[in-house]
Amino acid sequence: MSANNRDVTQRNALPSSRFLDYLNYRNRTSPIHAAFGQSLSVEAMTQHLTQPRVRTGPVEDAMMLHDALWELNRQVEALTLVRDTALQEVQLLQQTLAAQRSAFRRIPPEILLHIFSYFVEQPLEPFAPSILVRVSRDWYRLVMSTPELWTRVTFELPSPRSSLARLPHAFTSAKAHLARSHPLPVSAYISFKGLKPHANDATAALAVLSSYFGRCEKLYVYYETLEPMYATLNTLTRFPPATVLETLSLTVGYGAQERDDYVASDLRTEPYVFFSGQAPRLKNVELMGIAVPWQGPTGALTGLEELRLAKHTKTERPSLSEFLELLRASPGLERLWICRSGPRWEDGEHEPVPLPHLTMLSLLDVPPEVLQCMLPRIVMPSLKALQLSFFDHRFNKMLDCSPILNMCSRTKTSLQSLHLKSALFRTEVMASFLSETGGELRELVLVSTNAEDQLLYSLTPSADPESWLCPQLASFTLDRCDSVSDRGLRVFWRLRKECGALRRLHIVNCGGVNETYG
Amino acid sequence: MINLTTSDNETFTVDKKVAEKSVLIKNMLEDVGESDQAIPLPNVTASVLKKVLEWCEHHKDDPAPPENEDKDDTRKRTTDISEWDQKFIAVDQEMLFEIILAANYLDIKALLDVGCKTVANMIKGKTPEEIRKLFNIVNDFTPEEEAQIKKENEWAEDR
Repeated sequence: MSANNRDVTQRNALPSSRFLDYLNYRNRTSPIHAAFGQSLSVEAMTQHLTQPRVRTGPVEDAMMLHDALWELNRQVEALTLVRDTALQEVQLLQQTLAAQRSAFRRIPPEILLHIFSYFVEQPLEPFAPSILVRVSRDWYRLVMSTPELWTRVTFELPSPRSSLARLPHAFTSAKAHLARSHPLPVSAYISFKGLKPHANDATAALAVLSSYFGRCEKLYVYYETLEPMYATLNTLTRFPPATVLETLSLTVGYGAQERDDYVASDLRTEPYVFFSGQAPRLKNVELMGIAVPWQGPTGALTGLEELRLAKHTKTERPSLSEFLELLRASPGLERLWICRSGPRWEDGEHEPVPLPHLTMLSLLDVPPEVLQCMLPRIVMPSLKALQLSFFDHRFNKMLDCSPILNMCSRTKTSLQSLHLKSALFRTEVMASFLSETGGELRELVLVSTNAEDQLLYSLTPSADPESWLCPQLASFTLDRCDSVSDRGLRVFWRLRKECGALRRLHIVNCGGVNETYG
Repeated sequence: MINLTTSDNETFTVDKKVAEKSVLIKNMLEDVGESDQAIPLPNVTASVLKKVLEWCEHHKDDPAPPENEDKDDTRKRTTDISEWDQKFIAVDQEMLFEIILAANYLDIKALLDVGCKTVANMIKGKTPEEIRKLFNIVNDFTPEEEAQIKKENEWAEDR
């Protein structure tokens, strides 16, 4: 492309200047004219070439023809420019018209806010409202005047977006969110990744948060090392009363499996008393990969509705009596979730703990011996959902859960949902378990188990409706259960669908079969 | 069966259970009682109502959402969309917003949520300029305003 053509393209980008461009073209002088120090129009040149004239030489004629051709090309270029810019403007107008007629223009502010409320909850968008305010004036006004969109306060290092926030202790985004969300309750997320020592960063983040802690409804803390977590625990003991705090989640990324060499004697023995012992609304506590002294109920571990314990080494776990005491301190507990944690065995007599409101129990990769000492000592008459997983991470294998299923069969609970993952079982034990606890079972999920056709036959309706297993089963998922056959599944679905309430059979990668019936 | 008439005068005959996924229609039926007369839906075109009814048909047996759903509980509120809903909502942008408007008008909260989550997912990871381009939004800030807002939100700058 010539230099002149490049000029044309550049000017083309500015539609309003098209006539000016055109005039510029008309006023330009050809290189040959410039060389001869004169300027001729095309008409004048045509006339000059056609009229009888003083005889000129072939060289002069060729030059004049060349010049006329150059001039014509220049005019074609100018007209093309006008045409192209006009077409661009038409296209722009069409787009503007389409945008004005678009359904998006008719979206009222309350729906926009609904959309924004989902956007600001995206885990990977900690600065979501700050992105939205920069789109247009309308969005700026809407987002700035809606404190609800600023209630997620994130202290994150390294920052996913901002080089400024990489400076330790800057936390400018968190401070702005705290100010812009006033006076609403906030959810605070402290997340420091990497193995860099972060104790000072943790203390700095908590120092910012402490002034606003009366508004902190949820506090999630995640570190990859123990050091900042212990700094955090100590700082929280000096915090003011947490009057609206409902959720406290403390997670250390490197769990029990990665910390076998951790020295338990480092543990503090005196119980922590967080928030001056005053967190009247605290209902959900999660301790993952971090142990606290379990002796006696601490300020943060009483009157809970949900308790989640995960990734504790053998030496970090509470003893059986401490664990039962922990449960006893929360008689209204509704959900208990334990993953690679649980109590240590302890000899002696132990009174069973009644948990009359417990509806969900999740026991994931808890060693069978821990379950055997724990389960008989919890009375849970309202249990509706049970999640079990039996993967031994140390030996990288699935365990036989038949003894645990036998034990659970005797609890006289009536389950509505059962999830069983990474487990081996004897079919007759599973059938017996379902017979005892599955009268109201609506959802059954088996993931990576040795379930086989025999279990499907057990679940297939028989002539006597009284003997049906799980008559109310509505949803059955089999995921990576390679011992079931395609034919067995099809027969099971047909018979069960005809006679029972089964609405959905979801097969995921069972011997290469992926199918959803219903 | 219930008759529904759209803004472009097309009439749909649907099962009452399906139509009652719309709180607007449910309330109208409760107030007026059942009749042979079609219920007019002046804010919804036939093509959009067809899509909305497809969603209602698929979800007709879903349990009703709890009355006092905790909107602020982030553990319960996710931007996850079921596989079927994802396929259902994979439409062009114009139809997506028409569905959202119809769900809002007909008061079908679950469908409105699916639409809003889809739009939220579309915005995810985009810069302000990319969002403008996506939705044909004009940048109406003056250069001074734009600079000021950038400064006020400098932590979100390196995207």
